[in-house]
Amino acid sequence: MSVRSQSVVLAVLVLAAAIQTAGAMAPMEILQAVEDTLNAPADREMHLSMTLVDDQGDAKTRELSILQKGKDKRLIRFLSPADVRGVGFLVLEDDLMYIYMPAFSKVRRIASHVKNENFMGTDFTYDDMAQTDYVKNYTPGLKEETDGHYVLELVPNEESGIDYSRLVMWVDKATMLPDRVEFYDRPGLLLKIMTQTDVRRIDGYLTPHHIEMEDVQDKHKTIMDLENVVHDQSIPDKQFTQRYLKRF
Amino acid sequence: MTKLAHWIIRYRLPLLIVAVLLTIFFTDQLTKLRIDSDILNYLPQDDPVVRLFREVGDRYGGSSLAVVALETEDVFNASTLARIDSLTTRFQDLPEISQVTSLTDVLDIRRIPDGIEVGKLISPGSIPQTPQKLAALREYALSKEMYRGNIVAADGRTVLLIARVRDGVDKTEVATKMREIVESVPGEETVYYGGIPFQMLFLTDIIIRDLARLIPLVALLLAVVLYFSFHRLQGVLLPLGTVLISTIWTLGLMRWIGLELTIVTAAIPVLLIAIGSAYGIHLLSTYMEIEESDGDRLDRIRQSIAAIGLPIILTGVTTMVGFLAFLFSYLTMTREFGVFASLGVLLAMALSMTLIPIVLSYLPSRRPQVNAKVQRSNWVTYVMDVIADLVLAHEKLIVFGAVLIVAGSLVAIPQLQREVNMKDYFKPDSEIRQAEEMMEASFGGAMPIQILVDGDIKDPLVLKEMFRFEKYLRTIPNLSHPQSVADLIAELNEQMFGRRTIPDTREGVANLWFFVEGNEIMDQLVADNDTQAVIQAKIGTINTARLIAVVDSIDHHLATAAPPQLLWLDLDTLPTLVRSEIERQRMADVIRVIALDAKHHGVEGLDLNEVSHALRGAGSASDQRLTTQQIETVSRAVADYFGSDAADLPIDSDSIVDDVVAGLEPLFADSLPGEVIIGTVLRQQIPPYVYADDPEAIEYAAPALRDIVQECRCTAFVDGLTDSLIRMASHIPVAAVQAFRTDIQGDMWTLVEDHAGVASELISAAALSRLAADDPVAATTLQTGLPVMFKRLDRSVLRSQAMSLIAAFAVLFVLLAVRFRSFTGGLISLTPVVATILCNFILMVVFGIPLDVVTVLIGSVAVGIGIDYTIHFLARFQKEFRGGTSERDALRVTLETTGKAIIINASAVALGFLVLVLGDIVPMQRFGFLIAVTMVVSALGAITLLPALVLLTRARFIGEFDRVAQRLNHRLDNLRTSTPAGGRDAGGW
Repeated sequence: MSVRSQSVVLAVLVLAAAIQTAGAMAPMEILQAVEDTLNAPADREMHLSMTLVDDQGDAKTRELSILQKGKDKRLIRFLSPADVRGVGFLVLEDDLMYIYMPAFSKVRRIASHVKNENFMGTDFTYDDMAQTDYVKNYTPGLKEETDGHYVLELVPNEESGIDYSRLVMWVDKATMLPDRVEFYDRPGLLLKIMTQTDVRRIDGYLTPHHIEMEDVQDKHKTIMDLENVVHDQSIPDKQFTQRYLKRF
Repeated sequence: MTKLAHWIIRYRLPLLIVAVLLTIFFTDQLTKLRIDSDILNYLPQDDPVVRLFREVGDRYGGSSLAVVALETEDVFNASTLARIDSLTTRFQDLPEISQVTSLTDVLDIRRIPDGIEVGKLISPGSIPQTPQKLAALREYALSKEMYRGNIVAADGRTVLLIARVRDGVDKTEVATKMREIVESVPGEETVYYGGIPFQMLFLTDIIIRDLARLIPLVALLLAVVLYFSFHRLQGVLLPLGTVLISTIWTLGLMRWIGLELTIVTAAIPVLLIAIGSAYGIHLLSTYMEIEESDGDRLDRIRQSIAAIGLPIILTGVTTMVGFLAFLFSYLTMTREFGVFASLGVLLAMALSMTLIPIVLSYLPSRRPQVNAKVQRSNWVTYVMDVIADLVLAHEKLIVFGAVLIVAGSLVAIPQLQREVNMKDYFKPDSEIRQAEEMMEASFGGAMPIQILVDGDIKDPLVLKEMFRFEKYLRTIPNLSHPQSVADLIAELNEQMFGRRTIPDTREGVANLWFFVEGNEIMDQLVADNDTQAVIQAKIGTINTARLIAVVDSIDHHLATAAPPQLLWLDLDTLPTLVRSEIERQRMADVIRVIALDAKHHGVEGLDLNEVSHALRGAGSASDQRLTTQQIETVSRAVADYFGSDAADLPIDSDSIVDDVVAGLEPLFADSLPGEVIIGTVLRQQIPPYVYADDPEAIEYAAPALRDIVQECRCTAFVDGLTDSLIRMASHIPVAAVQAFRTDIQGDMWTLVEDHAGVASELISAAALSRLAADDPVAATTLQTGLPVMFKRLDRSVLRSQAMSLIAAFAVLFVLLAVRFRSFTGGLISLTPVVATILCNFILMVVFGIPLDVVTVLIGSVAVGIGIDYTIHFLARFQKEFRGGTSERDALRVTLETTGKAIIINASAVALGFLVLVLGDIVPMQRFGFLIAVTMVVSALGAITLLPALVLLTRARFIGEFDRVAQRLNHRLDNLRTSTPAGGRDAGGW
């Protein structure tokens, strides 16, 4: 059985389990199911068109590609605008990140405690971008259950170092994917709202293709549209090295 | 007047009811009156300069910073850091605050061996505890310009917590909350509060405190004066009540039409109580005179109104004219003051003429007690007689004295200082000034100046110009810490690639920019989709003259040194001759910038000719012959490359690496080898099995090696020059050695760049068409900030002074000329007040009191009030003289009656204004003091200079001087006995 079909089977099983036990799930189980759904593919490659809209309504668009393997291997490459074409990020673990700047032909390590800083002008923090560790970082509580949704309230664990006071997550019972997440800042005010829509089944995996993150305080918005999503190509580990980061 | 008197008595009940209702209404309004302590609101909002200033403040968050400073022996100790951390967190928890910058929460970009570390200066929850770690933190924080002098003082004694307050929230409320938080987190440190929100809080406090303290005081003072004048309760209550009611109406009306109280309009209550009581006093004393006669009470009231109505109206109108002259003022708050002070006078006047008679009409009439005033009057009468003798004997001397005053003022006026900085408005020991002085001493000042740059900010040429301009700014005295996105890019370039300069390609800029895009700090530096940037700097002086010098030198530099358009040229594409010319220009630019750096760092003995010689003699980075040591450095860099994770072609074997280095060495020792030849050497030296799994490796490795060699050669070139320049300097301050080196190293990196910016005016159109250049890059610059506003204010203070005085004099001249039906009469009546104003200017010079936005008001106020004395005096003098007495006796009688009243009135008003000296707002203190003095001076002028002038000129508007005087001598005695003692000083109207 190839890695790819294994994953498909796994995903289907998870989904089936999720549907079967729906209605009687503990909050932690729901969150685990969400995380499993998100992390189901062994690897994923995609194109992303990202639009940043500021409080004046001015929009900037950039194209990027993302290569992802497992939970902690990720290569982000900017394709446009022209002056940043080729800028790449290699994210290996929490604190191990490399940036490649083609204008200087150089790779630099970014030893980072920037988890809570916004990533490259977007409304996503570095941590939001890499967020696949819900179970590890948050304690969930079931706030509400509707016909279609579980509404979870996630409080970050002490040691997670996460800067939000809490998250409120609407989990679609049918997909076990969050389609709306509210982020609250430390004083407890609503800071950001993320919505994920246009969920498509690609290679057997459910993937939202339209993601919006709106910073309601700064009135700034990031819209991401996914294209050409491909899963389970058995991307070799060497793709996630500094050498390949430079090759563009 | 008689008609009016009848009307008032006829409708006394409805009028009284209306007055009571209005008073209730306006009292209610008054309780809702708010204080506008935002200094920025005091500026006229329709002035383009003000609009720009406000826009910049809003856009870059300048007007919304609340600053808390902690001062102690050494802030790098665990308990102070813990307090900072706790305060930072608790400030952040306030919903009104969007961001807090402090030692425990500040972006830190730090170089590490193979990259950079981006994070917080102190990671959350990990405040260093051991002395070693604290010392290391101290050393690091103080070594970086990002922190030193910005959030921590260079001596490590003071730190700042800078909170950014959100738009649209009540700034004073946030300041109050922050203050409560600071007080709830105890510590040893001395605390200072700065920034607009705290200043507003402070201002509101002192305005309220002044009002609460000064109003009762001046009211009490007035009550005492009234009691001694009238010796009965109604004599105290009626005039006092009238001014209080007119004050309530005036302030209530301000609230009703939506205005707020400012530091200037806050003076209106004290002012109205001091000057507005005169009308009631006149009416009451007239009534009391008439009260002694028989007749119906209502009829006596009607008589009083008829007799004194017109004089009250005319003196009131002249005072109003003085205040209305402020409509020519630049400041909104001064215009409001003019309008509402004159409205208050109008109300005091109208209420004195209606409310007092109406209340009197309901009170039982009574005979006055036999008063003790007569005896006191004798004493005053004696003084007045002495004055009369003086005037009559020495009229020429008195006029000569006036001429001396004019001459003195001609000397003094040019020496008048001006001060428009509002910080100067607070007492030196006030919190606001203490904080200001600390900021000046430890952080180069708190007042920001901004230079707006409009253009394509991401263009390297624009950034390079900004960066160069900041280097210029650093050399201006009283200016420090320029900051802009150009700095940030240079800082990133330094931390990532070791060059404190702006990259020479758009991509280079964009790559670095990308790294900080979206960071909070960018909102304070760029706007409008990267088409506008701001260069901020701090000014370390509150002296207006020095502020203006800074503003002017910046404007001068912007106008002369910044080329309007630049062309960005790729040097490799240029013909040799053009290229060498451009390189010469570039070198000259670099030398100029090195000179700026040397000046900034206090480097001495750097001869620019020598520098120029060294730079010219150095040749170029690409073809200089490397020294043995430099060759070793390059070899090591090449060897390191093959062993690194980023290597396109990793080689484990040291012997293969050695072979490659040996093969490349002859190529890079003398010049920069190309990719192709490097590729050839690699293929020769590296066995194919090394790159078997990655056939493209050599194609990637060759250009990478070329870049390494090039960078090494450039570094060698730049470092060599830097070393020789450092050696040339005779003195470099120890603390500045590293920073100076970094700066000039960055300057010299410009010399090895492939591109150069050239002012497009230096290239002819014909030449331009042959060059493969992009479109010219243009950026416009504009200066703004409080100092610019102060410069504008300074100009406007002078203009306001001139305009309001001219306006007041012109209107009063017309009024008086009409009143005396004489041109000369108009001129002569103005003389004492003119002399008073000139005296005032002399006094200001003598006491070192500057002309500011409040003292500039003195002239017109003094004219408006002081002219009353002239009018009263001349009217009485005219009446007496035309009555047939000699000028000598007319003068004596006038002085004993009206003259005395003038002195009493002036003293009372002066006393009222002196109350302001007890206030906390410095210009108000000065205002109170100077007005008090001018009141006395103009009263003295009215009783000495005025008659002296009349006698000397024998002005005909007074009467016929040529008639035989002796004939009328005996009438004098009659007149003297029949004139009531004091009080009725305006009988001539």
